[in-house]
Amino acid sequence: MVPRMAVALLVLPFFVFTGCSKRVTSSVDTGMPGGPASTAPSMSDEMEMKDDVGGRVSGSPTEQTLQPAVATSESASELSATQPAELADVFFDYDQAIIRSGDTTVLDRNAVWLNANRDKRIQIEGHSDERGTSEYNLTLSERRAKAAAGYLAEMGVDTSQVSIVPYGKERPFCTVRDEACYQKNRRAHFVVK
Amino acid sequence: MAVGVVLVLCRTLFATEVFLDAFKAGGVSTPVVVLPFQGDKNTLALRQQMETIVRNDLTRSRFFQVVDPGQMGIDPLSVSHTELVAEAANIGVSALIGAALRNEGNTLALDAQAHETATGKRVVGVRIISEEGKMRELGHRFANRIIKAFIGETGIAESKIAYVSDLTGNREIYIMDYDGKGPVQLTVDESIAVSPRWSSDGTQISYLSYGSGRPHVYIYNVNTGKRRKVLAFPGLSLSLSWAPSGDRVAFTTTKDGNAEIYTMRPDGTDLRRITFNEADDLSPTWSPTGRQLAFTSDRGGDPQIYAMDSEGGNIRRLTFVGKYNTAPVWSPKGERVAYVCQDGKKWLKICTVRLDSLESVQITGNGAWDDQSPSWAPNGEELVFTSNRLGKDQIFAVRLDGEGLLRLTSGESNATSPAWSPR
Repeated sequence: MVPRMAVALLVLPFFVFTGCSKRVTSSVDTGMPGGPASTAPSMSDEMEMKDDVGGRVSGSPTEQTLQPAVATSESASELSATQPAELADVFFDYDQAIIRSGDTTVLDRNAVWLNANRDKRIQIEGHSDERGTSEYNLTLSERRAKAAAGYLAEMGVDTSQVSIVPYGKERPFCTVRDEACYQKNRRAHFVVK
Repeated sequence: MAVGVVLVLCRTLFATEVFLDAFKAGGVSTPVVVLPFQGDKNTLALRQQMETIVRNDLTRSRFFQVVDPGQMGIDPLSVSHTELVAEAANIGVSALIGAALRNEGNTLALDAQAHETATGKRVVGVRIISEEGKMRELGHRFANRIIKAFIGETGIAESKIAYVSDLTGNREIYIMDYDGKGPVQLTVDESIAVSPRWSSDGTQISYLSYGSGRPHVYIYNVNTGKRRKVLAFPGLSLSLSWAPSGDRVAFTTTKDGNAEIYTMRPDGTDLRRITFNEADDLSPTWSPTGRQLAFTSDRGGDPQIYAMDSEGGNIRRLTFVGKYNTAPVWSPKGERVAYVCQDGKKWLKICTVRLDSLESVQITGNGAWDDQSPSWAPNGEELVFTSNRLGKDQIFAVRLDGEGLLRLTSGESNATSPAWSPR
């Protein structure tokens, strides 16, 4: 390719003059990248829209222990499709992967079912709430699934019946931003494969 | 990133050190005028869009103060070049920027220049050629040429941002320009994609996907569009992070029981475990020299940011404020690490900590929403992050001083996990 700058540049102003300088004081283009046609809102738009944000409870989130047996309306149909009535999920405190003392009876029942159905294979899905970052929640949710699997192993369940898959906060059961919903998502979910 | 732009550099003079010194000393921006681009009537809309791109890129660089040509009090097209320069200099404009666009069949050719008004010297004179439809690349390239001429280093105007969008109903990897324009879907895994990260040469993107039903790490080749599965270990492995030199990668896997950090060559050889702790160690990020790694660990009882040398020695804690600090990313300038912190009401915010003083600063403002997934601009001047402050998760950019907040994505879908490409 032959550069034809000499010709091309004739259409442009050609500067040969040096003038004095006085700083520009006004009418600076403060347009944000994206330009006036952009869909990005101005800062004032943003401030107005903040009021529309649905709420997590104000103040520090509080921890509530829900009854594990309560199925959520969001996920009831999904649960029933893959989870026989004999198997139930266990739930966790914020940033914890320790089986709650109140949940051991749930896991005991799950172990009885697995020991009575040695031909069945289950997958324990680890889940977390949306608070926190993706990778931390993935490793946290794996610890939750492993804690549940470890409890079953201690109850004599054949480890080949059980596999785990960590989902972190990537596949929540409930998407409302409040503590009741977060608690539903901090769980080890039992699925028959 | 290949953008299909052919560049013919005709003449470039670097005579702008005075402006650069003034900018570095006191943040004084150089006033410039972007003249209306010239060309045929049928390219008018294209030209106006490109002018906007160049103006916005120059403004966002903060090195330039883009002055409306109307300030000159004369019609740039109706006066002689001498009068134009005289008037520009008279109102304090340091440089005049102009271009002519030609649409030649299937190609766009932009003859682009910048002149210093004080000396009359042309500091940028290039013809930039691209295929039709790559108008945005042309504009960004021109802006980067101007920035390079004045600052001496390449700007970020041609950088890209990889991210996750649920536009299709699944979560796939996309890339967009650094100004949020031109989104392109890369993956079609029809599943859940998590945490994309660029290779240091910008040709590959590592990410986690549930495409096979279980979480696996994949590397997507940006040039070929093909992906391959990597890190075939038992347990959970997370998206890997390339050393700046590209000769090593760091990643997290639970293959030995709990989450630990490993490094290896990109071809999978020379695997080394570098953390040994009963607590989880995860999310390694390289310092620009490649000699250090920062990471998340809950070895102290709650997740905090730590740093160590790249062989795993000399571990020290970097964050001491709050009980939840995760997702570190080391600044390309080296002096600080950005991460996700919590404000007093436990909402997630973006913070940075200085390596020398361990002083932590919250970058994003207080409010009842979460900001997360920080990633550095390649020049270390801005961060992109995810925020649900407007309801859906959207991607924003912000400067280190917390100013200049820019929303980059919009719409009914969620955009998360931004990763800024190398230059």
